[in-house]
Amino acid sequence: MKQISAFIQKELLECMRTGKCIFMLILFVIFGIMNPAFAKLTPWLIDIMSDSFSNMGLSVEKVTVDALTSWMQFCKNYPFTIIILLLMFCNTLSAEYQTGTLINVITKGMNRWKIVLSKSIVIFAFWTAGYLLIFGITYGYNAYFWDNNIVSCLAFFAVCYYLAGIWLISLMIFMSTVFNSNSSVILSVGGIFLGIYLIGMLPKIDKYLPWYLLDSSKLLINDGSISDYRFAVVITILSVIINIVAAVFCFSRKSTL
Amino acid sequence: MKYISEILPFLIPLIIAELVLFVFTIRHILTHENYKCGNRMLWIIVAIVGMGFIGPILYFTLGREDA
Repeated sequence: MKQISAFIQKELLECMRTGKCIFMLILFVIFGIMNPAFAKLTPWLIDIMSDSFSNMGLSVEKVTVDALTSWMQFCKNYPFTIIILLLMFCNTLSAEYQTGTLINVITKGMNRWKIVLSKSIVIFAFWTAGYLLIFGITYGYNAYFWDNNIVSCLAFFAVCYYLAGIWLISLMIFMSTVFNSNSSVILSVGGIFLGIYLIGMLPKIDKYLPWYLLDSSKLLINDGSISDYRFAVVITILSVIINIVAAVFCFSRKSTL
Repeated sequence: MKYISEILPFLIPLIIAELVLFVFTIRHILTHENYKCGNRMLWIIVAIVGMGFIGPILYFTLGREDA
């Protein structure tokens, strides 16, 4: 436990000193503010564009925005958030392989599984804090401008999107233990995600895939019920555990550090 | 005028956050000698042209050295 907490401290210190921490914090705040901002600015933008639309023969009616527009914007911005987080942390192990800094720690007697576990905890903590920040800011602005009660199942929707992020991060940690370079880690995570997205196009299987969690935005407009997502939630949680166990397994057998 | 007062609650924090991010990025570029690719001038131009958040994202994902 002492070793894990020491390694977590080292990771956090590294994040602070390399500027990752502050950069991610500001970026999450910006993303959080942008969701309601886009929703609020939509009528104004359409108003400006309406002249050119009417020249093209399109008539624009008055657009009404509410909390739902803002939450839909949250769904659209979500992929950027998770992609930036993955890009920032894809070098978590590969940078250490390249500089050889892990060799000292391991020869001093640190168990390999503790390294993977503490790195995972730090990235999960970053995602949790960032997600709470984005969600909290969006929720706060929505409550101020509109009314959050018009959307249904908001809490479950939030958990689904959070879990999808956790799943992608666990996949990235697993891939970092398999491959040695940043680009292969990102490409393999992207490849697996694309593969699962394509499998998800098959109508009967899609409910069982982690990808399906991102479909939970339908719940906000009362389309479907929470029980539709029970398989996807269980499979995603299992998949996260399997990814971490596989990462520990691969890392303990890795010969090139 | 009514519109501006309506958007002020998120305009002010957004501008402050983007300015802080911009200053932080420029400071990071100026205090570091080596980058993954490109040179100092290129990253300063990228940070200024992509002001807001595109420039800083590009710098921190592609330009910032790991060590």
